[in-house]
Amino acid sequence: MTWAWFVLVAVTMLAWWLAEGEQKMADATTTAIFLTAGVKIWVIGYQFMELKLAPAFLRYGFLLWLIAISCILVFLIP
Amino acid sequence: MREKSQTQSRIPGEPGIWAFVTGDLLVFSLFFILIAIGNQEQGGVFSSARSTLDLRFGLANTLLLLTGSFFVAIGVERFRLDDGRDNRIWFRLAILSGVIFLINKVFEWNAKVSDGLTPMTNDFFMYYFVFTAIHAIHVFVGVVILSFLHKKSQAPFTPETQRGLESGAIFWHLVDLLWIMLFALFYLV
Repeated sequence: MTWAWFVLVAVTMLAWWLAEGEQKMADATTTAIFLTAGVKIWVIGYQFMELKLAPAFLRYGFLLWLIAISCILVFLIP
Repeated sequence: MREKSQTQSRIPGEPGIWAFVTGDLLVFSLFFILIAIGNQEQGGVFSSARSTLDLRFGLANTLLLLTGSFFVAIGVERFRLDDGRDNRIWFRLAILSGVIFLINKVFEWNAKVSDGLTPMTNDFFMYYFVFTAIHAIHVFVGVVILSFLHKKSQAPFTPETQRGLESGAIFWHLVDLLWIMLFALFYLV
């Protein structure tokens, strides 16, 4: 559980650094920001919400939603 | 001390909480898409408006909810150990994180309104105020739920109590993960 928290905090700081830096206007930065958000949301679902113990349909349903919404947002945000 | 086996696959919490999670994720997904479409169609307005947000508020609130989730997860895990320890501290800490989040939000909204920025200013601020308010209501409900979990965590272990605790925890984690996407869309992009 503790490793999950450290990963979440580290990825949050990474996303904050990306947003603050000169790379802010680059498309790659937008993708990286949503990638970090996706990683954090996955860790919360898998570890904190305990999807790691859940039946496969629930775990993969969550993952499918996460991938779909991340791709849609990366596509829409210029 | 006994540890309840967690190796067998099962749905965490009550199945109904996952129906709620699914519905809430779909509704908030619509919110996320609306923000993204607004960003696409009014890039200049959104970029300019976004620059007025204080990233420190957003970052602090993100870290608060993440840490609150961590405490809740620890609390549920310790409850399962059923070793007679008082696990209420974990839920108290999570409640504290939620309360500080809400206080931060009020300060942040107040600062924007003081600067003349309201939901009527433009579409960015309409989305910002409305969607963060809806999320804040979730946080408030989550804090109320955590107060019930705080008491429940002292009850004797039964599978029913465990599922109840897990269901409340899942709602809190949902509140956390929704904020992560709102943080990205409003503050970072």
